[in-house]
Amino acid sequence: MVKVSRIRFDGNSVAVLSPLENDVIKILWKRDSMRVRDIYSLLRRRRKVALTSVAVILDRLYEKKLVTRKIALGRGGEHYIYSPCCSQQDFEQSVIDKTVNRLIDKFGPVAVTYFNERFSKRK
Amino acid sequence: MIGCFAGFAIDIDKVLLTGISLALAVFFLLMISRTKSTKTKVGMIYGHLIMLSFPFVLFTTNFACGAACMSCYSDTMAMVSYALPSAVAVGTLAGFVVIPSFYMFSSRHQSRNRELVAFVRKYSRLMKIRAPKLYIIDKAKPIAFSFKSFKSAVFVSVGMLDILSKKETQAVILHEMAHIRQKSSVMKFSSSLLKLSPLSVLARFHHDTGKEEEEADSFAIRMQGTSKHIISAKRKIGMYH
Repeated sequence: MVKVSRIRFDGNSVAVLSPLENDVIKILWKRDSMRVRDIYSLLRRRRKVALTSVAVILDRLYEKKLVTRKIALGRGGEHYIYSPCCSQQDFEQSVIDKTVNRLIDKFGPVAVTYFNERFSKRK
Repeated sequence: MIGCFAGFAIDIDKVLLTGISLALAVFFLLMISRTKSTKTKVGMIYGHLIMLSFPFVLFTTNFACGAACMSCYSDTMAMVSYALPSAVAVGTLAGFVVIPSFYMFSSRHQSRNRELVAFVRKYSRLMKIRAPKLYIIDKAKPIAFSFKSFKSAVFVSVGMLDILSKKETQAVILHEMAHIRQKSSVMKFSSSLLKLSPLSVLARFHHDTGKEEEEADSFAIRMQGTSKHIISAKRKIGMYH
């Protein structure tokens, strides 16, 4: 289960991950399995970032169970190969699911009535 | 208990043995700061701890042997006198066998990186030490350390290999191999055991890890002919939060 601890509302956007976490996971969603150095070389074309920061971010994503990793042997010795745990769609669905469940847990019938009204208006 | 102690105190041989062992404990303690070699220092530390715990062992044995003192077994003093030498024994066993074995076992595998293993062997020959085994730790945090007990070993995390270049990794390994030659882990462990001694304040001995670190860095710089790799490795490790 993906761990999401915080959702930020910045202006019109909703952020679940930090900007760098977001960039890293997006690369992994596109490429599937990659090592830290490869993610770093793709990322530094777009923004100023250090290799160490990419390694920190990947470990954070691993803690949040958004990525898995395994040790592989290649050029330069042992290294981690990171892969996304789920697709972008599954991740977004999981975030919505958690958010809605939390709202219902916290506000009970008020939240349920709100969602009912909201969806009936849409119809 | 008082009867048993009085029996101990009036026995001139036992009192003499206690006095000699305590005097030796103080002698070893004062010699720690005056000796230069690590091996001798470690010997002095253990000599001090053994001599310091000897009167307790003697006192406890005295209790155990005297049939009239059987009730003294449940006494706290007797328990402490059993516990102190046992603590030294368990501590020593942990430091030299259990902790290194734990890391060697939990690291799961030795490095399969032939180039790096060959590098370790090459420099072990140059340093005239037994080639340490290179273990890989499954952690993203960049860490490296070494042990010198019955077998010596260098441990490096995968995270470290992920962020360091080949030359930087070699610099870190040379740094750790220098620690093995200095017997740093033995000295670190022994000096922390010394803190158990109530007389340790008399020793005016402080194990300076900073100096050892500097020496290990200098060794890596000497071997590589440049300081840039060890400096950049340390900077990268320092940046990891």
